[in-house]
Amino acid sequence: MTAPILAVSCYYHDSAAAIVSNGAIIAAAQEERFTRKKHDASLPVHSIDYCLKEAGVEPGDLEAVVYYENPMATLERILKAQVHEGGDAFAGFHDAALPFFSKRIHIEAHLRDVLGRLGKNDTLFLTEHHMAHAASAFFPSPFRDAAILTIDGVGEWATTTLAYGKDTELTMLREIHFPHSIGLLYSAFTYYCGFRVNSGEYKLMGLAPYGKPRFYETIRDNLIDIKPDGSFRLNLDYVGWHNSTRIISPKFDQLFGAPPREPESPFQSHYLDMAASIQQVTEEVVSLLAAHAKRLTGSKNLALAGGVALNCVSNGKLLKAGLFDNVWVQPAAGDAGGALGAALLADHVHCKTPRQVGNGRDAMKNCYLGPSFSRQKVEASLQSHRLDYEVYADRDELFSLVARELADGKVIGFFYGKMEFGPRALGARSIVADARNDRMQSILNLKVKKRESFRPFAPVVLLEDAPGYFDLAGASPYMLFVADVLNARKDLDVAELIQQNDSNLYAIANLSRSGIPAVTHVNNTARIQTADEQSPFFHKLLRAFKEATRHGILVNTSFNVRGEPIVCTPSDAILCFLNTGIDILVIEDCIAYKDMQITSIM
Amino acid sequence: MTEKELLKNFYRDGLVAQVSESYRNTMRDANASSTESYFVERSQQADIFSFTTAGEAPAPFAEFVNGLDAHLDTASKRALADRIFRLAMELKSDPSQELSISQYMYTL
Repeated sequence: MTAPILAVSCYYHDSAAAIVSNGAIIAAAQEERFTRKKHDASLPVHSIDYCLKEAGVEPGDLEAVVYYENPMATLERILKAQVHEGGDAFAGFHDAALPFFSKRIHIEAHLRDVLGRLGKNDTLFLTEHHMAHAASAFFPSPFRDAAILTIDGVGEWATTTLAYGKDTELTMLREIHFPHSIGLLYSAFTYYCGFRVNSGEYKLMGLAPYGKPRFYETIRDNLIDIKPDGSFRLNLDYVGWHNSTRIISPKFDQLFGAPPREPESPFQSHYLDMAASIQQVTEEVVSLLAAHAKRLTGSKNLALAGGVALNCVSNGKLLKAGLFDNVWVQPAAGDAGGALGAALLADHVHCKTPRQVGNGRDAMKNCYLGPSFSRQKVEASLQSHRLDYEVYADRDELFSLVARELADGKVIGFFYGKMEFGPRALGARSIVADARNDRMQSILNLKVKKRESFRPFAPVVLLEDAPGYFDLAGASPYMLFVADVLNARKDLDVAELIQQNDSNLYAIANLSRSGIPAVTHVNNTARIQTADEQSPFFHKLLRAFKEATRHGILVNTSFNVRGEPIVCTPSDAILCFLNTGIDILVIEDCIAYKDMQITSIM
Repeated sequence: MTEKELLKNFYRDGLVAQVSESYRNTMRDANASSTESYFVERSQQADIFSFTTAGEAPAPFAEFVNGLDAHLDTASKRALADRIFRLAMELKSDPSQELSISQYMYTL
């Protein structure tokens, strides 16, 4: 038996803390949910406090405290890279080095300030960035052994790794080093298409189906050399992350014949095609890397992590290709998950704690690892915001009512139990609506989420009903796989529609394509979440909706508005409810209707 | 420790001089397409390690960092970053300058 282990990721983006004990994940949370600053990179003092309280442990009693990377090695990389490049590189060095001088290399002192004592040994332990990602991919997976693939922007030196996990061992096998990074290349296209780096990559993926990959050959011929084993090298003449403060160089614009798109400006087909092209290249690289991981390890299982593993289109194609019998993706695949990986690495590899696998389930507890709130606290919050609400003692009765309201076209904020860890809302902090409603996508985008009209919404579907709607084999509890929608309209040509509608993506996105139009993207795919009893509240809601409509499927989108983190507390949820077009708030067996609230509080 | 001493230590103990061949090899390579793979091979058990023995960073570097934290404000850190970079650039462009730069450093 070992004492709990606390690990932290911070000072880059998406800071987080996680705590594990004897192979079990006790708690994990991202700092942004507490501070309300999206992608907050600061020292995660609130997350640390939450994790310690949840585990009931004092800092001095921890087995170990672990940071998710080696900041010394990262600074060495930054310095060497910029010194090598010279010329205009100083600005890049300046930008990159100063946060190190001020923060990352002082992580031990900063954590000691917060915790007082760094565990039993009063020592900060480190790991490597991609080791933490690999650990987050393998140790919570349902596999006894697995090939592991991690891909992101960059850690210390590695940008991509292949590893092998078996029981409590994790062996790093191959790496690709900075500046050659498929994650950074994807971010370069994200920037070029007018989105923010480190947060807009998901939007680029959603944009890709509107375009044609007509720049695929240009990218392959000029930007990236890909070997049959999936390893790659970039032509650094076209990028800028290694020698400047810009992510792309002027030659990039020249190569593609247009400047970067201005953020928030209308979409021209050029940028749609750029998105489609880099998406195709990325899928190709991931597929080849996975095939090589299979050759190296011989495993029938694949585990994925790193920011690129959030590319659920690529994940879906990997799954469908059947190269591996099983594919599992860490739901918190980005840097937040690095904290979890570092904690599990310390527990299983360093402390030799055995893993518990064999029941076919992963160890993520469906990502419900964050704070929860009692009914008393919820009611106190509702009252402090002067909301009229009702409490239902019979949850079945409440969920039947909610199902009828959903079928009637209402948009519902749904808040139950422990908050999710990772970027997706999975039923604890979700906004739900009727996926069959052909107006719902625009209602949600414009009245509720206040975000770009082209972005698709995701479905949550009863696990047993998923084959009736989607070409998906197996479960997808974390919304990390995209698959085809069955019986969708095949007669709508996206390119033709874009031409006809003068690149008005809003008009195209809202064309009814299937029996579940609100969750069917323009290429007739969907990013699927399957729900079973492991998601008790969502499962019960879907069952109630199926009883009311014969369809066990809903829209599930995160409980937030554009630019804000997903809600954490009842108060966050109430404010979001009051300030958006959400019709009904359902929160720990309490229900509040927007149209029953006094106008003065709105 | 003064800023000058910090800078001397940083230079003397050579982090800026370690513009390694391994890094050069990962950069532009005219013959790149002739190689079979761009992977760097590893065969290492993943693990955690103590912050005080962090990786391969030289011990004086940690000393530099500690001194930096204790003695310099943000503006001084910025100035120091500037000097480190420019010295490293001089060294890189003309390795024969090492002695003169070294002499210069110790006369600061």
